[in-house]
Amino acid sequence: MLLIAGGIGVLAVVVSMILGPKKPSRTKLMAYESGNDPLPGGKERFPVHFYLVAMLFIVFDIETAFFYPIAVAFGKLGVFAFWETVTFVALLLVGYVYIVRKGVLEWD
Amino acid sequence: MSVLPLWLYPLFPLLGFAVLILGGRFLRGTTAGWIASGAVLASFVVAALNYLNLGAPRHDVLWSWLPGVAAEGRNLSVGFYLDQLSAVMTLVVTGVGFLIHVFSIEYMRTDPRFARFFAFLNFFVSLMLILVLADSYPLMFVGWEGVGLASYLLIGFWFAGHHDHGAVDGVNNSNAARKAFIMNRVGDLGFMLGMFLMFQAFGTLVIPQLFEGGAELQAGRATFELICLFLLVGAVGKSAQLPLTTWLPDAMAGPTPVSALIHAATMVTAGVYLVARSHPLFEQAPAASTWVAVIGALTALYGAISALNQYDIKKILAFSTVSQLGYMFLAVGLGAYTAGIFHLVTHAFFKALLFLAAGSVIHALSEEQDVRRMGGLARKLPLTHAVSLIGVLAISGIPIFAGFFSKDAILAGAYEAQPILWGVGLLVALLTAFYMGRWYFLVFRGQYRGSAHPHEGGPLFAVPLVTLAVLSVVGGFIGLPHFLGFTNRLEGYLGRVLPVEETTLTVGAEWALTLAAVAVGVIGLGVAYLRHRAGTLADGPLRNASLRALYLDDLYDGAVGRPSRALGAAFDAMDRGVDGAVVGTAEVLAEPSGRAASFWESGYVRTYAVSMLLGTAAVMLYWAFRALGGHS
Amino acid sequence: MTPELRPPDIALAPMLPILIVLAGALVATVAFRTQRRVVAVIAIVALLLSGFSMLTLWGANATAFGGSLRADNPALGFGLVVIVGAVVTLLASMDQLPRVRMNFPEFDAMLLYAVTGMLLIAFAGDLIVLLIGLEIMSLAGYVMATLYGSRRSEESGMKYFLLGSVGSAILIYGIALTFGATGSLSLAGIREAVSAQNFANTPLLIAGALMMLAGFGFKVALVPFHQWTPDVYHGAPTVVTLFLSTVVKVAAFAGLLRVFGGAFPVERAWEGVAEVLVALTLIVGNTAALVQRNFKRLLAYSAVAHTGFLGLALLAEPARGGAALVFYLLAYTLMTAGALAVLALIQPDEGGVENADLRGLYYRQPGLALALAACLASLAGLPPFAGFFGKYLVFQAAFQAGHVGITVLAAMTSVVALVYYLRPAALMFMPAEGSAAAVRPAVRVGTFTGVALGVCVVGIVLLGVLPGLVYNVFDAPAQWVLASLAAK
Repeated sequence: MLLIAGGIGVLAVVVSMILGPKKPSRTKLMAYESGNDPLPGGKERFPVHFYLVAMLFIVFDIETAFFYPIAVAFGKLGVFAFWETVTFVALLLVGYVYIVRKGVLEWD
Repeated sequence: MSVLPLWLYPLFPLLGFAVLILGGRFLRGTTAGWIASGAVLASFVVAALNYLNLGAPRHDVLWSWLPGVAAEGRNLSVGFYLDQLSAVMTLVVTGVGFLIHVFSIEYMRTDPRFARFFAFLNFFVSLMLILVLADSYPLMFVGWEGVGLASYLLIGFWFAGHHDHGAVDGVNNSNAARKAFIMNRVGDLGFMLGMFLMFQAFGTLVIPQLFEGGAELQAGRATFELICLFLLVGAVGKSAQLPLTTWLPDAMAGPTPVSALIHAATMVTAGVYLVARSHPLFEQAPAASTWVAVIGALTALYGAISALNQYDIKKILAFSTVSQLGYMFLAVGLGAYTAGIFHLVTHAFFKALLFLAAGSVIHALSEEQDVRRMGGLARKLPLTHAVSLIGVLAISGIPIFAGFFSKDAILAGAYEAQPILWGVGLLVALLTAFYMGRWYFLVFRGQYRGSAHPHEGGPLFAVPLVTLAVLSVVGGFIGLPHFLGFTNRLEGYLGRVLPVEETTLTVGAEWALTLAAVAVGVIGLGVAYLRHRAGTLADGPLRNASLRALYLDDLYDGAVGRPSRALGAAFDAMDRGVDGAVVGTAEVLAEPSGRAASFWESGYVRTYAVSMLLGTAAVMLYWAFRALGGHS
Repeated sequence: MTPELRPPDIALAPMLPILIVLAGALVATVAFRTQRRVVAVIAIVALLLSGFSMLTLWGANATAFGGSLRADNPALGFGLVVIVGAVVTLLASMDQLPRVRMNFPEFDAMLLYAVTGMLLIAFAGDLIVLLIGLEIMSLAGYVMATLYGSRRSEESGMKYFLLGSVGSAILIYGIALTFGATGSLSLAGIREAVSAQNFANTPLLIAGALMMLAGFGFKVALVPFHQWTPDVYHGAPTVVTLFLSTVVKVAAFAGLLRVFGGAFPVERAWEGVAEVLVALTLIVGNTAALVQRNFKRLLAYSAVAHTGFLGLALLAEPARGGAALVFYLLAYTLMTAGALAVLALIQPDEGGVENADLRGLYYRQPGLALALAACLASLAGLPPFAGFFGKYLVFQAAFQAGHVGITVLAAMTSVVALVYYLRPAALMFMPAEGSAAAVRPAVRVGTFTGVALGVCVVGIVLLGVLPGLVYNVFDAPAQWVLASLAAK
């Protein structure tokens, strides 16, 4: 069974590869065949700072995202959750101190 | 007097090794050699005293060692076991070892690494004693590997080239050392597997527990056969039997005393010892025993044929050793254990003698080893000549010399068990007498053909040579045959641990066999003499086939060496990254497969990732097919 | 009305070893204006404290988070081996890193983060903790491989990262499938479900197990998931190679044993597949090592080959194979670390040395040559060094579990291994006339490297002569069975 199932799958791809007519043209080969012509600047260069800040943003964005539910349910969660949160923030803080001291956020 | 503690045996040489390796550079002159010799002598004294005082086997346990390998899951201990068999072996190892140590003091006197040489020699003796005295197979294996290591170090001792031969020589020497080591490891593999199987079958690896007290070992016939075949592989590797025989002739790259000690008298006989030590197993395994005998007979023939047309004074002796070891295998394979051990002992005497004599000749001729550039040395080296003659007569089986009795015992045993093997043995005896005669006449008779100024060595050469010569003459008397009305002392001694076969041959038949053996010995020597007179001795029979040792080395290189190199190169090419600059892959791989391999070797991360995913898929498919196959 | 959150059982004791290392890592992260040497000492102290706290936990079988974290004896054993390897790495790095201008505290921080992850793997009681540990370890490892600012190092780090992601993806998929099949993430739970035949369908479970095998296979460099190994080990700075090839492998094997020895002891369908992979690893690793001319690359292939030998222990029953695995890992860590530490000293640049350049090392640096010779002999499995007993134990374990064929294969490839280990070893003792390396001045062996090499050499000799010291501690079959955990 497995053989037959797999075989049919492979067969379909291979046969169409061999038998299918291939008439490539410029339009067909474009990334969006029927859309606008793509701008030529796809390979423009960004400063590496852009990526660094973007990455850091994600990290701290997620931190904030975590805070919302904690804040909402804070009364019910109790002391344990409080200290867990403190630990979490402290760990991130260490990273934050590191990046600040390394000068990652100085933009020039 | 009671038996001295067994740990004393390896202790002395081990101490010698430690002193020499650590303090060697502070020792002046030949002090290091004397320290080493003294250490072995001390062991010999212990061995001799214990030999005389030994009654029941003695078992000393030292300290807890390998976990979970003994019976009932207890830890296996390091311990030593002395019975009559190991007592004889220790005597040979320490006795012959001591003489060779003394010889080496003179022989190696000018070597810049004098102390290191003796350190290695002591290390070897120590581990050989551990091998012989081990009370369990794992400990024996440690000694087994250890003597291999010592042999490696000593064969390659002149890795930097010797005297003015230069660097090429050095590379050859270390290649020879490595070859010996690696071929030995193939054998070790068999030893190890035999050991595992034994443990599985009997639950213990301690020798006294296995074999003592006449306890019947319980296992199926096939188990016994398999264990014994694995052990045989181990023995074949260590004792240079077919098909793992080619390392021994190459091992002659080491200094001559090393050849005498390790590659003639002691280490290479470890395989024989292993079979004799495991005789309760081999008795339950008739097929494996037959294999031992057949391999022994074939190797004896192979060695003898290869020795016919060698030109190197030591290579002749090396092939002769291969051949004589074959004799011992033949004996123990046929159940004639005492005869095998007997030949082991006498062979240790006369082969050590011959090697040391060869060493003396080489020394006298300033490192000349080619017999075609020798000759006429009888007048210039009278002592060496005299002892060599004794050695040649002994190995050729001429009566009253040691080799006669032991070879006769083996041939008688072979005739009784299997006349074909006896025929092979007799043929080998003929060839042996011839090539030893050729060796003798080329070296010592006729006119001197070289250009050196031969001179006899000093007293440190003379003492070991004469002692060994005496032993080669009288050594046979420890095992006089019954049919002449003597009592066989060795058989009586060993009979307490090894089975002794009562012969069924009539006295007349024994006489006939003995006469036949003597006759072929005389004929062989006679032919050598006649060809010497005719001046055609230098070119032995069979020419190149014999010189290249029946092409066995070339065969191995073609069958194993080249494919494995190619395979390794192919795997390497497969994995190489961009930085690898894969050149020459196409040479390694044939054209179609080369194209396939280039897909793998691109070094791009994406192909690696694809290959990982394909690997995962293959893993799943493999399981799926197996599962489907299992269910349908 | 939401229910009150009930805090899980938090026992500090079993977490302590991990927390100490983590604290050390945090200190190292924020240690500005501190000499790297000081940071490294702090890191070593943290590791030693962690090791000490593991010793106090010995035999207690402590758990936390309802069994998600288990400080049982196997975990502590692997943990201690990790600590040993990490300390040796740090010691070797103290003298080495200044020479290659890599002397910043981030190295120590990353190393400690990696160790944190490794301890999590070793202590893992469920697959999620295992995965978290693996990711922490891997991420730190990627950074370490890239730390050295050379094109080669960056390439190797990038390769490691990309391929590591593939490996992780496969692993996570496997975890998901296993969870789907058994409904449990904890190892004990999976084990129970498997032995009770209480799972959704067999193919799902097996597929999960095999994918996890493949994922781990990447981390330990099982063939065919090994191709990154030579490139990365060769390209990374030598001290990092030391770390990656020893400690990371220890942790990955700890994870493998946890999952396959602990959770899947009954359903052995993975065994046949693993056997094939181990066989391939043995063959490819050993034969490819044969043709290497660069010593560092040779050691990389040697690492692949040793994965094969280690894999044998995995095939055996956990009760026997576990102890053999810990012993072999310790021996492997010491001997590989020793060899790479010597290499780090004698290499002219981070590309390692050519085999031919080892010629005559003995006459220039006898101490280093002897240490390297001992390590190579041990790697080759010669007595009386630790490598011999490691091989002996894993061979025996696999043999007794009925894997005769593969044991024979392993023994045969170990003969091949002898060839490529002996070649450089023999070269070192040959006179160096005419080789380029002969003119290179002798390097000074710093105190810390000296200590590191001393630990390695003494360790492999001691373990070779008295293997019982370590092996006996772990040779209690009962402690390797996860059932003792399931009962809790």
